[in-house]
Amino acid sequence: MAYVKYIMKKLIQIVVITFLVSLLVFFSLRLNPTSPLTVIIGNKQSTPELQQQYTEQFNLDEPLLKQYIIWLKGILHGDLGIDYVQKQPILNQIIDRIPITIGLVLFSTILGTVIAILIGVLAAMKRGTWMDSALSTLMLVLSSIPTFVLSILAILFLSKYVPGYSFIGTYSNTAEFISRISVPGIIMAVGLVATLGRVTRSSMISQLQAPYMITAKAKGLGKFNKTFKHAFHNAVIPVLTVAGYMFAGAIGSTVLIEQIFSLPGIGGMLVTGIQQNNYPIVQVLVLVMLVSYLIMSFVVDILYAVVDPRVEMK
Amino acid sequence: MAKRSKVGKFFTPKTVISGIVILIAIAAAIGANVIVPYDPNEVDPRSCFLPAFSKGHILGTDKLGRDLLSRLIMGAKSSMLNAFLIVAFEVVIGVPIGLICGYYDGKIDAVIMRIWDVVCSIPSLLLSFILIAIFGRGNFTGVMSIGIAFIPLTAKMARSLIITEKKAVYVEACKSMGYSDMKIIFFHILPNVITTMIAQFTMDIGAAIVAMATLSYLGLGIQPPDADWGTLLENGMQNFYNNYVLLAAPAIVIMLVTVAVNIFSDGIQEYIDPSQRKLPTFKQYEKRLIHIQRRQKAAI
Repeated sequence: MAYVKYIMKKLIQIVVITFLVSLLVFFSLRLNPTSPLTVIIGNKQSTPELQQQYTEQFNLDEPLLKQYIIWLKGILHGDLGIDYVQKQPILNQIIDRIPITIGLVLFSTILGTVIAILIGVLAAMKRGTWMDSALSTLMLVLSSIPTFVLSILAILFLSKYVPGYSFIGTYSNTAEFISRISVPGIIMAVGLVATLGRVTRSSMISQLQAPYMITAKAKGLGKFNKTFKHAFHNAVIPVLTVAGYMFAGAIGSTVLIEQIFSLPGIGGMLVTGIQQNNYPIVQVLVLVMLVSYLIMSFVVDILYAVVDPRVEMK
Repeated sequence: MAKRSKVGKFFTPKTVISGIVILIAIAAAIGANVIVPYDPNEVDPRSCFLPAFSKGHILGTDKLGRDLLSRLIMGAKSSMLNAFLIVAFEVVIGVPIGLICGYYDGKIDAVIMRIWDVVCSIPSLLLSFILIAIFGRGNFTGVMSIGIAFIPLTAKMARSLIITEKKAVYVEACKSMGYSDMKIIFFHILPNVITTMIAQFTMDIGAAIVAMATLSYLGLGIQPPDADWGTLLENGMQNFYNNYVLLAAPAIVIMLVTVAVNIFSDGIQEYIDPSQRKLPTFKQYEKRLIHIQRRQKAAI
């Protein structure tokens, strides 16, 4: 019963947070002095008829509160609205672009977590040797190199030595899709490896020193059994939690990497939206990213309790 | 002092080397106006895309014939200044909020912490984007939006520190002497907890440099003709087929400075808190989790 109560409470929390942020984003975006009409009309000749037509189309003559209610109603009915610049439905634009973002996030998280666990366990088992200090220093340095500097260096390298790698255009088949996301994905994974590797190392070290390891040794278990069936099983729990939170946060951090590698994902869409004062896109994308972040962290919370029976849900 | 030297020295090779790099960057930032060889915004059409080590221009020139070295030094000025402003912003606002919340853990605390939970649930880069969408692009709004995005975690850290600290005997002594709450918080507790936070603030300077460079790179931060390291990277990115130094130089500078800042803060952490070098207890581990989440948010 405690589970159901906890899950309900969390779900209500998610709904409330989303609602509050939607209010905040909608109204605060209207604080910007740029008028929506100038954005909508753009480079076209501004005539009173055109102004009239757009004012009606985008409900600009209604009071702000009513505009908000119309917008919220639309979202609840699955209609995300029409953006100001291209005047296309936002939902279709997002559906076109989201595979890249999801691909990037999944690819980098899975790759990063696997490598981080390998490195962390290795460093913990060789604790105190040159290998441990080399790996730890490497992780410290990697975690402090900004992602975007790393990606710029990667672009520099690729454009010089890998002539076939394409930076422009979209993808038409799966192979092309994977080749497009592989390099940015690897770079996102580097940041993950750096932080996660350190967590794995410290959690593995504390498990290797736990009293039950002595019991395991006394029982005459082999080194492999001892490390991987006993210590690793316990050590991996906090690692997976951090990985989950990082996975949730990665949706926000694709913004930058998509912009640098000119990938057609939703992150690039957000930056362009901000640059063009394209409010409908900005408010929808912020909500999309926020909701995916909240749901991911919710799933992590639940999984944490499933993996580790000691955790109480409250 | 003898006891201290047993646990750890401040001047280890780690802190000395990274400290020197940071000092050079700060010195370049302070003396920028004096030491630049050329006016960083001076356009010279006759000498576009000079390669590195050409006569008069050690690092070459960019598309408009502006001297890259001068622009890097001026970039150091704005990048470092902005980073310090961001951290100052977060300290001046975040620490008092956290301290007051932690000291009076009652209704105010519960309400403010709920709000913080909402703010923390937005990834910090996304939060600064939202703030920029509201206030418009520019140097000052960039600094402010990153500063605001950094506040919640600072406040949380200050709060967690004061919650344990307020149970100390000296706090009770102060109370019995009739000191006001504000005096106890800011003159007695703050000096005791601030040292623990210094390592974090140092690390935040690195994160702030990166965050500001990110915004400028995307064209949302500092506006032309002024330049910081992010703008230089962006310019270099557009022209690196003509002169790769334009891209490599700012990239290397940012990398050096942020790596140095992080290593330095690691050194400070080890010096202040020698227990960090032993195996972490569960409590420390939890603290580290917050720390890691923060670093990951900031490092994007």
